[in-house]
Amino acid sequence: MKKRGCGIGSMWYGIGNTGLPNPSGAFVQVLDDCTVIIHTGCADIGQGSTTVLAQIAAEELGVNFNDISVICADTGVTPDAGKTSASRQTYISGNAVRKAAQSAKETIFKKGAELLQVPEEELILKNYQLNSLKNYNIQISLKEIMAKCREDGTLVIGHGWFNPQTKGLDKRGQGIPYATYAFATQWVEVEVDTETGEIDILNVVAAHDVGKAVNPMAVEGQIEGGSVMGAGYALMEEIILDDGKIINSSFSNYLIPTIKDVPCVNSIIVEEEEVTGPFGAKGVGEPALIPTATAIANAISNALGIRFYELPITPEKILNSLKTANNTNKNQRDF
Amino acid sequence: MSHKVIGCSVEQINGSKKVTGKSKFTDDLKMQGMLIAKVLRSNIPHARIKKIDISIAEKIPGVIAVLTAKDIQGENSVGIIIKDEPVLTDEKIRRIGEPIALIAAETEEQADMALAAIDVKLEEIQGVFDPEEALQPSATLVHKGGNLLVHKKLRRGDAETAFKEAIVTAESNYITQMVEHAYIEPEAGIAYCDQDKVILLVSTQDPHYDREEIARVLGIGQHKVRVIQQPTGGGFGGKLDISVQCHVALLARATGRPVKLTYTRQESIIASPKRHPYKIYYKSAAGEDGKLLGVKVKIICDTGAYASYGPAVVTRALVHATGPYSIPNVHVDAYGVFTNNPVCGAMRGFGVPQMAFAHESQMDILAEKLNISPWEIRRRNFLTPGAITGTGQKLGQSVGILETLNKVQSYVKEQGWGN
Amino acid sequence: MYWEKYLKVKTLHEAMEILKLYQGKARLIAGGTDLVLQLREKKKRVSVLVDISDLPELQYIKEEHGQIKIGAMTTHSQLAASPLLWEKVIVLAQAASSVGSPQIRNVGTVGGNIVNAQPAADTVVALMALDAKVVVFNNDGGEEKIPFSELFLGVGESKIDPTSQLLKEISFSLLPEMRSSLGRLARRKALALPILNIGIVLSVNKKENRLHEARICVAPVAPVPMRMKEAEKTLLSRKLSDELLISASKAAFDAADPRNSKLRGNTAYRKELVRVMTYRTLKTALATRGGVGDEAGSITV
Repeated sequence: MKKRGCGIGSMWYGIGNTGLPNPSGAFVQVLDDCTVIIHTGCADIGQGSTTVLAQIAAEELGVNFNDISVICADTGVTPDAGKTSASRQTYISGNAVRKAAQSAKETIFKKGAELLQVPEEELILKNYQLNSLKNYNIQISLKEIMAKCREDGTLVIGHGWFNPQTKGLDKRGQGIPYATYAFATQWVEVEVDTETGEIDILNVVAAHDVGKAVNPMAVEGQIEGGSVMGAGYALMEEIILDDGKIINSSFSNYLIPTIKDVPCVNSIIVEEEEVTGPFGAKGVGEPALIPTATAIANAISNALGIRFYELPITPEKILNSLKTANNTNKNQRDF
Repeated sequence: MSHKVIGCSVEQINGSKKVTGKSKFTDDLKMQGMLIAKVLRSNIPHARIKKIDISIAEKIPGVIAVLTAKDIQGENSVGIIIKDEPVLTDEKIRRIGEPIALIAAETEEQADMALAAIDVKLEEIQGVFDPEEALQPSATLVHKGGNLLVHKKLRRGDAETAFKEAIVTAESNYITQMVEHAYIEPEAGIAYCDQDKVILLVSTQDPHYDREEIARVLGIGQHKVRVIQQPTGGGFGGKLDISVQCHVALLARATGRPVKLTYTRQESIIASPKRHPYKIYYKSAAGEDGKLLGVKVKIICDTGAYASYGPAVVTRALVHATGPYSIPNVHVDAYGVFTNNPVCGAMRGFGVPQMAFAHESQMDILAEKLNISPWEIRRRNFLTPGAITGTGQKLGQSVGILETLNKVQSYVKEQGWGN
Repeated sequence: MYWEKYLKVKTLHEAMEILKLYQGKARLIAGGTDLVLQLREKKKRVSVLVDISDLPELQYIKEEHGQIKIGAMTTHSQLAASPLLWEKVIVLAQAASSVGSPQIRNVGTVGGNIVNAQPAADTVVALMALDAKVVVFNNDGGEEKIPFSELFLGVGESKIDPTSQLLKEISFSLLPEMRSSLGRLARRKALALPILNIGIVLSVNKKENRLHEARICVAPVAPVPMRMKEAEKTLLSRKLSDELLISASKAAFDAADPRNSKLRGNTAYRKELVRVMTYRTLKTALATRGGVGDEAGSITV
């Protein structure tokens, strides 16, 4: 017999290290042809930070995304950006890159103001063009400014760093552990086979408050991947130990979900912009995974009327619990 | 404000190279004269080393270097928070997979032969594998300073009174398991020397931390170490700790040749840190209106043989124990405990998925007791702008938790899903 | 490497000559999906590998005089894509489709699956239920036929010695009004070893609403795939009914004796699965069609 149920999981997650400094630094250089190089220590491990940081610099400098090149994670040439952990790179390194871009921009504005004979505050840089906000006919191309800079020996290089505002926890755990938090709610529907204990995940809906999605498809990628990882955590993943020895140290016996084990994940991006974030962004890397397992556990409980207090919830545990509960919904055939 | 690039799903830089298999990962790289490294690891969890004899291994043709702890010129320790893990142990073994000796050889077969030829004499010690047992006064000590790595407290308001005033309470114990990151690319690194500098090409989540540790272990300045991250096939927290970095650096310095070390999948699973298994004792109290009055939580985290990211995972669990809810009275104790189990460290979520399993189960249990829906109980308790968290932090803006719930609920309704 | 020489042969004869020449130091390799891992993990050792995977004379699926004959080097993908098998021997087509992943099915062969003798090998469970036989060539030029019931000696151990013998062909008879099905449970939906595999082959007598023949093979509940004789007897004892299927499932449950396993589950759980899955697979099998002389129309249970 198959029984269906649904469950919710909500979560919060502090971005960056807990009540500890975790700064990130970046360099941004605008070249004579108006292309841009970013130097950042930020290690892209597949999550897409390189792309996100390039987007932030492109937006700040008003240049095309394809005119940005990123050199990252090489201690010989890039400044320290801290760890790719704690869902911190978009928020912290994103801010560092933005500040570095702003610092490069200052040079451009200074030169532009000088050439256009207007105050810097009046200027806006967009589409490779510096314009006066007051009079759009007062303008100069970025290329021209770069040429003038070259002429008088000015390099357009900016550096920036960012450290989130936190306050360490005291002995009673009081303080400001994080400058900002990501939030999420996920909903899962499952179907449980009460005779074999097998669990099918039918639907996943995952809404994540990421502040601002710098790259929505990348955010969805994180939500989908995280949900799959969370499904593995809920249902099948487990390092099995025998006196400290891992007895399933291969992918034939340590199982993670395959494409056949997970349904379509319906991602919803919620954007409650964070004023201290780069263009309002927070983070999503870890939050993506956090509510899935518990939503699945709640869905199974909802389906069977039995609560599970131990992960992973395997078919064997389902059958044992059904037996113990002597569940009246069990197949009425006496066999 | 309208943006030009922010909010656009531009193609991932290097994305097409990755999906077409053209990215060169560390193990794809070859250098002139490159040696292959292997690590001799313990296969018992707790022991004292009496003797390490490498004399036969050294004589195997093709074997260029066999290193043990005595060959380390700098400090023989690494660790993100506490430097408690030996690079190569010659005294005590605290876990299975503990590195004891390094080999660099011309071929993998020769390195394997040398591994088998190293003779290690051990005196086994009774191990401790359960964190609560490890906290008993009679327990075997994993480290001299005791088995308690850290005990963190969170106190806000008066939880005892809250439970007295509560209309409903829920008390449950939760257990979560140890899991593996399962990144697609196992750990890999190449080290080579360029005059007095050591250059590392490595799969990592933080080259700057790697640099610091390599310099300390080699006993040279950080400016003499250059770490270049290679395309990295996932990390999920598992590539934050030192894996191959110090080992290949030591071998490159000892041999003067490039040295590559790539873990097999099995070695990766055995040697890399895992997600902490938790035991969580959770008590919640709520009033008639379904509002949470207080929680009392005890968390036991098994950090395994070394600290790794343990203290930070424990602290994060402590802070996140309440879930995204406004709770006036909070009492949390979180313990990180050493055992002879595999090391647990950082893994995507950092101790919070475990806590979410507990606090979200509690919410459903309370909802059932109060006869309100799981949606409603959350809605009534969510953090809002201006709310005070368990750590006493007043939240400002960007608190979108209610919005996420509302969006999910409408989506589910629109689809006609669920019951 | 894990071997010294790797020889790819062009004929069957050449393969046998090489085995003879190396006197036990050479070993046949088919798809290598198990063997290469075993060599890497040093569970097996070998000097010379003789690759027979490309021999066309060992790759066929055909029907001859009421018999299905399959060349040993037929891959799982080929079996899984065979209209003949899907039409007449569903259990084997299902079994081949259940093996590993597409990549593994593309190189792994039915012959390799048999010789490697893993206790729950998918095609083996199906072939046991089909009461298949194998034709084996010896390196002295002789040939012998071995029934599946005598083929397996223990975990990873079959009667065929790939250092001196070559498994050439697998054959079995089609039954009148044959119904068959594979029941499989694993910890996930693809690329996972089974917790339980059940192959069922039935021959029905529609007029009398009973079975002519019933074969149930279950694995892994013992070191080798096991035929559930009591359950089979039960199925033949009376007219088909739901109660009959329930009794047969109970008999399979009683006969199964899987061990406690930290990876596959404890005995009680696995026995319970034998009961549930035997019943379900019997139901599914009865709803299929196949074999020879099948007519439309279902049987009532």
